[in-house]
Amino acid sequence: MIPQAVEAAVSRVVSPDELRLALESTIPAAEREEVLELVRWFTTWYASGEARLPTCARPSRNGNALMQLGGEDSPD
Amino acid sequence: MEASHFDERSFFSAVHASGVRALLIGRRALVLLGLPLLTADYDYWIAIDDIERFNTLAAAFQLHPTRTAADARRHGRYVLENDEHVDVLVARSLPTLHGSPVDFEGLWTRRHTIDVGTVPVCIPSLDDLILTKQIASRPKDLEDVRLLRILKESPR
Repeated sequence: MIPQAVEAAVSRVVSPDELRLALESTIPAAEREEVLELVRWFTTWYASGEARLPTCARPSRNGNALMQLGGEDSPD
Repeated sequence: MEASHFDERSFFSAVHASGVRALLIGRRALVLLGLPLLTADYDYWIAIDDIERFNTLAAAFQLHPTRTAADARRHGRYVLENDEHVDVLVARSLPTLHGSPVDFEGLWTRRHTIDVGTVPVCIPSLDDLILTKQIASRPKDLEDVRLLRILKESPR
């Protein structure tokens, strides 16, 4: 059971300013490189769509987390 | 709740074989594009005229609609559910938070396909996925917008 306050926080509609920032703000190089490194790792180990989909098919604790590089989902 | 025998690849295959104009949206589309995300649900946007055919194919997977087709047309969305949960948008057009219309027909025209095994799965273009994320505009959608922007702006 998800507490109501948490549910409200994750389900709320963001403000127009928050959306504008997400669409227009400069993404820091470090964030960009971290994401692209994850993509490279993911698409190397799970090279096809068929391989990738089963990895996402479970509930996440917070519903919005990227997998951890080398974490429990790593085939290593 | 009745337990389903849901096989994702068989479901995708049934969608393709049915000829239903169905776009896989939401995080599963992002996963197909190479973003390692977690999600529990399936999200589709289908043509409003294809609701009955989509429900028929879903029934073979013990997925049951929460609204009649007529009611879904009025509300613009419904859910197919059992122990799986498939959110289905059916509106011809939905507004972003900023009020810009996002039209299904445009998304369908610009769609991409990604093979899952031998089955083509239709997803919106990167730009259109960014638009669909602006419809619900929850905090996690904004996170996905940033991820999609990084994908879009990266050399492939």
